[in-house]
Amino acid sequence: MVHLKCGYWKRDSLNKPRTGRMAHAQPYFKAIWDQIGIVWEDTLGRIGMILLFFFILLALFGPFIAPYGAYEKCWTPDGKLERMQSPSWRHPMGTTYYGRDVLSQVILGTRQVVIVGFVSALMVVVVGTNIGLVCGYYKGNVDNLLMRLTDIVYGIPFLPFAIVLISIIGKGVSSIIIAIVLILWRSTSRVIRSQVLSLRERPFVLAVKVSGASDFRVIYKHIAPNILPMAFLYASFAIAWAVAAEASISFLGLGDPNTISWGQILFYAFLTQGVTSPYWWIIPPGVCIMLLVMSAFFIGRAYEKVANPQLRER
Amino acid sequence: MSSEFLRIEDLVIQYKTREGFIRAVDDISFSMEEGENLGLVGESGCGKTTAAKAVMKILPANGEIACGRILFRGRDIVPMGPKEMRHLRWRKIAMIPQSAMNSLDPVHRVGDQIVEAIKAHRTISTKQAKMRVQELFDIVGLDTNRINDYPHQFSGGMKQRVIIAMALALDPSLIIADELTTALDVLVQDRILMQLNELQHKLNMAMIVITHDISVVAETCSRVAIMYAGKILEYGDLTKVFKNPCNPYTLGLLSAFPSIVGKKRELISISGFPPNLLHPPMGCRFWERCPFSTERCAQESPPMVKVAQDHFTACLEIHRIEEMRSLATRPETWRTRLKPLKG
Amino acid sequence: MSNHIVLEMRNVKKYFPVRMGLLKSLVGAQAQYIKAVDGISFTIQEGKVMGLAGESGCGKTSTAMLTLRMIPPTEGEIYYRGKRISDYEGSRLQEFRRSAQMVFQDPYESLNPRYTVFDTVAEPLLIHKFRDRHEREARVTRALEQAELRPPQRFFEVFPHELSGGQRQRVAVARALVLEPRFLVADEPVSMLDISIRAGILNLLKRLTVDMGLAGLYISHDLSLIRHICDTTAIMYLGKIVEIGPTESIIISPRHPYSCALLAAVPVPDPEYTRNRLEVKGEIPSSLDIPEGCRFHPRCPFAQRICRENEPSLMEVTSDQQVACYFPRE
Repeated sequence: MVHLKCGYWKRDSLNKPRTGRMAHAQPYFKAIWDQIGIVWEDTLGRIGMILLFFFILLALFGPFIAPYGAYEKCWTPDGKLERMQSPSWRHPMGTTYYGRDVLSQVILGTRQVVIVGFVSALMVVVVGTNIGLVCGYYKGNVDNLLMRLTDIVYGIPFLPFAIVLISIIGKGVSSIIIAIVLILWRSTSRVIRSQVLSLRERPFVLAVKVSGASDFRVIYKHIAPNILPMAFLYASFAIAWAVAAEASISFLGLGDPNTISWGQILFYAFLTQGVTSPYWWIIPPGVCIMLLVMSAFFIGRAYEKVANPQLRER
Repeated sequence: MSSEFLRIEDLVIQYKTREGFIRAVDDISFSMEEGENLGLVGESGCGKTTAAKAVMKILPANGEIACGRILFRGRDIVPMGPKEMRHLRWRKIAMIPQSAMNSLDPVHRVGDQIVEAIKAHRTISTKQAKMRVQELFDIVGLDTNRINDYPHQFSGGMKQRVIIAMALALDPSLIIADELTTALDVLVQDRILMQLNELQHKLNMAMIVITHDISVVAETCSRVAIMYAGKILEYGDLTKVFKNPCNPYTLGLLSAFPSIVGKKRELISISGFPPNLLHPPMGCRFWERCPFSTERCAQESPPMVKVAQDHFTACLEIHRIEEMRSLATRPETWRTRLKPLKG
Repeated sequence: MSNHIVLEMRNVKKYFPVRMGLLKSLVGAQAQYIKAVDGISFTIQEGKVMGLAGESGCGKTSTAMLTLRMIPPTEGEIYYRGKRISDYEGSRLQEFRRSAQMVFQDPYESLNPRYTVFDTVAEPLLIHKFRDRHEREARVTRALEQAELRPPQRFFEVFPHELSGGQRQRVAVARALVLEPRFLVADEPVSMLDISIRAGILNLLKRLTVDMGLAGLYISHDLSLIRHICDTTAIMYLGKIVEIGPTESIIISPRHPYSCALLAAVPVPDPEYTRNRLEVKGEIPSSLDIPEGCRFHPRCPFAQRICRENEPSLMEVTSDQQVACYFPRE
């Protein structure tokens, strides 16, 4: 037992101290695990995490749960198309103009949304964080250049840009992701940069430089673990933005025509019925979009309380 | 007959935390006369700042005075409501918190900040307040032409003087100074302490000097209270305490403190660290780190006993004081422990 | 124990340019410099600790950064064990980093909060490519032992926030020792620690210097601490050394008016002792605007005409004490 301050005794793992090279991934693993625990403690955060988990499950197991295919036309026993049926036992969320089961569409559409949401969010955070790290650490010309670029990107409105881009490179999942990533990295980079600007002045950074660390090492092994909380925060916000962005793009009909997503359900609804679309067709996808975005925001909010006053361990 | 100026009796202050109550100040008592200078000495976490904040009743939201009395000029402050306290605060008792000079608002002129402080505690016109600021600048030795400057235009020492001026604004009879000169350079510190001393005599102001620096206390105070882990271990006339220390902790502090005069001597270091105040030890707070402690010290909490006129100590082994005094100056004394501790 | 000179500074200067606004540069105004270090020279021997004392803004921290070559000198030369490191770059500088390490002032901030004690102390080894895991373990263990954190293995998994200030500082010392340096810089290593534990760290540093034959540079504004640990002391003012010599000589008989004032201003923990103050007027001027002649003359109570006109250089006043003053005190 080691006698630590405040009279605490800590159980040590004398038999297996982590001294191998993997020991250096520990700061990251511990950081990630800590953050998850923090979010779980907050009520809203917990709701958000449960909802998110639910949607992830839906995305994974959708094809096994959904009673019908996404584009499968449903027929009555006597051969009539089940067009625009209101909710019933056979179709709990009714059917569309084309006779497709709305419930199945919503379930199967989850996968597209979750994939686009998570992949874009991940890339947004990776791009934004790296730019923020480099700018904040090196300052000078590199910083000026990249920050000017960020300013320009801030000026670009998302939807018009997405429309133009997709009309050039064509529709598809990757197009949506590219459009989202190209614009949304801007907030993350700003915020991470300002964190790095203050972190780089702290004595432990100087200490490791005195030991001879290269710039790369200082940035990625010492500063980065400490901005991870902020990156995590912006990752959750990025999920929310990406989901909303995907919904908007699909709603405009620019989504992947072969894969159903919630936005696309709404696209078809408005395409065929306009504002007189029946409630069972537009409410489910709309609510789902809202819930997923909100859950990501709740997680982010729960986390923000801690991410901002950095390092509460003192 | 001197009316008692300030008397603290059996004061207990606790903080509410998620893990329970922390008794930051545990049953302390001391008193002060008018115009006197009392030093409150101790290391980090001993409760000195908490005790001071209690006198001003500016404890944070989770802090409360659990029991005891604080008698200021005969009246108990503890049950006073916010309205009554406002009459006392700044007018009768002023405080200079730690690092106060860094909390000057950078976007407002220094003169305006003092005026604001004055008007917050007394209804007078801005014009009169401004006149008072001129007076104050004179008193603390600042150039009155600089009243309209911004904080960043002042050096550290000058900012500290602005803070002192702010505290003096309403002519308080008691000033509590928390680590007044810790962040200052040596020459500046010297000047400020000298000036404060003069001011005290001129205005007949009492002062509580809170610090971990015993040399500052030795030069400015006439009486001293030595605190450790929420308790006062030794207390009384400063010369008596420093010249005839009657507590192992005091001995430790004195032997650990380097001096620029006299023969160069070996400094001691007390191993270990203060106890966790969530679960304070049953006996003497210092027993774990004390080289002279016995089994009894671990069980019984020592009461304050009088060893001379205006000299009190809380130690069960006081009869061994001669032996303790001779052993305390040797580093080995403080290294051998009943249980191995590292720190 | 030989008297090898480990570190030598020869007339080193460090000027930091101040950015001018566009308007000023158009008008052709002179470039301004913060003359943080303005020509200092000293040597440090093996097994000895040199103290650098002075108030804020005197250039002590910049000097430390120069000795470690964290910043290049604007002028002058720095020699480490006879090799001129002033213009080292790249891999040679990296090699030098193995031999020169530092302990910082703030024990709370100088350790990465996300790294365990083992990670922190092993990091310099990883930086310098010690690939063998067992060797790293052995070295970390030894370093923690030397820093008196016993038993070492029990501290491996601990995080900084679980340690007291004194323990954290010992971890910082262990980190500095793990590469077996020959030169150690300590920047106010105990000023943020409680009084009762300061001596522990100071005595540790002193003992390591002697036992391991290190050369030490100790920076502090607290002369009583310098007295306790340093063999020689240099007193700095506005980027220059105004007095240098054996610590006890300087403490007992300072010669430069500034040294006298500084020493006379240090409070003494004896209530019956009266100090003889030396009044010094004014405040420390900015390093942008260093006075002509002797930099201390505007504040010096003994200034004469020559002090205003010519800057005095360090002159020997006794066999081992040097002062930069035309009228050194007795």
